[in-house]
Amino acid sequence: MSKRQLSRRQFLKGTSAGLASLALAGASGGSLLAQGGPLQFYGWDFQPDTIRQHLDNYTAQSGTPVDLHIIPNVGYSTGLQTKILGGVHMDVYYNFKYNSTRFFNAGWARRMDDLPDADEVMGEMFASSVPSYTTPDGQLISMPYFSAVHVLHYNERLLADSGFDAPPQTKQDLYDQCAKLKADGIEAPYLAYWIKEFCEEYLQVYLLSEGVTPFSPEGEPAFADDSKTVDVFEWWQAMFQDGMTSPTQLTDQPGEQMTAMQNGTSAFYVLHHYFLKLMNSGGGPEVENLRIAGRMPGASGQTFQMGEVVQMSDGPNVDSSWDLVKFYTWKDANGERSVHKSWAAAAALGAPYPDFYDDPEVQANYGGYYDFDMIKDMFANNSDVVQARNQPWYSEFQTHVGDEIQRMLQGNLAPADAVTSLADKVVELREQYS
Amino acid sequence: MPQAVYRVRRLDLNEDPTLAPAQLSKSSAQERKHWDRKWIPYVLLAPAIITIVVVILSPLVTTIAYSFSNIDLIRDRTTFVGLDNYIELFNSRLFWKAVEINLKFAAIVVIVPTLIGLLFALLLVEEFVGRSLGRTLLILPWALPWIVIGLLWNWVVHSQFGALNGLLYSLGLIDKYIPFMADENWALVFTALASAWRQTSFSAILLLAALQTIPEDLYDAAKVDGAGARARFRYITFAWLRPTLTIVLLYNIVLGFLQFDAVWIMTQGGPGDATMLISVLLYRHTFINFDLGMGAAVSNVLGLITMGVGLLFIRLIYRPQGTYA
Repeated sequence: MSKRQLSRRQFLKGTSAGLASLALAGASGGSLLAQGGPLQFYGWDFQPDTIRQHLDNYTAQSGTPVDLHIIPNVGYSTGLQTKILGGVHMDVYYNFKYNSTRFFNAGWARRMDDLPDADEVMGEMFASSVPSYTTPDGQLISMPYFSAVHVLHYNERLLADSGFDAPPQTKQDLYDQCAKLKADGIEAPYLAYWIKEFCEEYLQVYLLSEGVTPFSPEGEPAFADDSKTVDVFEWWQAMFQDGMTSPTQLTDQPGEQMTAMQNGTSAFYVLHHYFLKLMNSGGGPEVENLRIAGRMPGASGQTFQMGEVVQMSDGPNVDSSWDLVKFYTWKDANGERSVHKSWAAAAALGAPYPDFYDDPEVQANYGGYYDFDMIKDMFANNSDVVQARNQPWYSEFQTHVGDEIQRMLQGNLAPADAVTSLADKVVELREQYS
Repeated sequence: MPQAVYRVRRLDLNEDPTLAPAQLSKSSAQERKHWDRKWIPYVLLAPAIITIVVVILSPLVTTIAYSFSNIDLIRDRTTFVGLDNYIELFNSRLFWKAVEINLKFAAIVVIVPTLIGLLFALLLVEEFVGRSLGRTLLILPWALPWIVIGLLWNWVVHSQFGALNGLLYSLGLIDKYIPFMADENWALVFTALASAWRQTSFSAILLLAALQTIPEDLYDAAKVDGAGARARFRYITFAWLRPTLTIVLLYNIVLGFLQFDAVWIMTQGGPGDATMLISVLLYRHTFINFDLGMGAAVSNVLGLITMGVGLLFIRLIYRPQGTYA
């Protein structure tokens, strides 16, 4: 057997050529993706196997293959933007709602209202939900991955034991009921997810429930002009300072809060409506007594409607991308809301379509403990999406809200000063982004 | 040996001016060798230089340049803003709060691991049953990733099922569980201790290695000279450890100012501003707000603070060879 000697020069030549060809292949990868082949789908890591299943179902129906790319939840926005800036092509991707306009303005997301069936899609939604997916001038820039309303979960038995036959109607009622429950031995009656990142959602919940308009349609800080805002902030601070909540509320995660509700060491919990299913699925001595209040305590009883979105990019794959978006966020080829139904079964995630809640399959998956008329009514008549959340500056405002609200709750910032600080930040950011 | 012959011939060709013209007829070969002698050092150094330029110098220069700019990633627009980012930063309440918190945090992360690490090293250098097991266990915290350290310590100090609360309760020191992480001071202390725990392991390993190199003769000689235990520690052990101690301190200082992972996992800078380190502020500006200009300014200031404190400690502790006594 002859043995061929490889000189160092030959070796270097060979490896250089190899590396060069690899580099060329890598550099052309992005453009190859953009010119056909499988669609590129990006999402965060909530049940990636379920996402894969949905995409496989789509491929089976349409014949279009889809590559799935998962980016971890923590740092998803960062990862997504870094990849796009680095030239990675994405056909369809999950996005946080507050990033949707930013992506659209940057040209990373395409408008969809000029595509087939767009009018029908929007026409089927709750009217209250539409602004969540559109720009102020009505362009459809995203579609619903899921929707939810913030609700007040309460323990009916604990309330009855303390002499209350109905959940609180106003914030003062809520405070008083908490005080009584605390006196009766429930150490932390009220729970809410007040970590920095979520304070902004509660800002919307508490303002809307008191009838305060958070922002003008142009994104101006309307809350600062309403004297009720300071009242809301004072109530918020009192709930924490007077011990109506757990002292660890500013860092606790939903897992700990759900456990407290399941075990009956807390009586109220404000978070998305699907947490009732999660608590029921988890079991515990008190889950049978957990209910959802029909209105958020406050003068108007309104609540905040949230959700995350799916966006698509422009390019040669627009038709197939839109087809996939419709499958994933509206209906499949058989006219079924199969993806939304699957999410309902997995985690009681909602969708902004009234008929969704009438579907027996959805109702069975949600569980008998839900009042579907109530949920529909909340979506249709008693909730707001706060369209200003789509503004490109919103994520920075959100960070600021977390800082200032936690400072206020700890007693390091007066409620009136917190209102001023938030309003000033909005003015500053609007100017910066104009 | 062929290799030795080659070396002699090579030297002859290049350095002997009396070589016959016949031998010099291979002028092109000679010129090439001359070129080799002149440039080969640079060629050999090139990979290291290129690496330093690409990995250290280029990001450093870019970061400095970014800090004087307003970078709009979305509209792909960069505007020179001079010192605006720095002025805004120094006028920000949160920045000064972060500096104050970071100094306290760094103090814990420097002092605790250095002292406890030294104690562990002094213990584990002695002969006793179970020393090998002790040395193995010492490495464990150092082997854990920072994210795991953060999660682990969150459980340790948890208000409902934390091991620390369990211990204090079972010892009768508390009558109900304490929500440590809800308290601003405890939150800072425990995030710092989580970092210090891992650093203690690393410090002890370095110091133990240094202790093992001290010649036993020095102690014997000192005993003959009448030196007591304290004098032996001061003039032999401590003096010998001084260079290693400088490295340990420097490393702990760097971590005290640049720690991010464990704190982010445990508190994300909260509750309130309680654990808002400069590195957390940097992350928020850069990766949440995507304000690269401000992020770069914070990064430069953080780098300067770390470097300044590090140099100060080196100046205080480090002595050139031969001046340790």
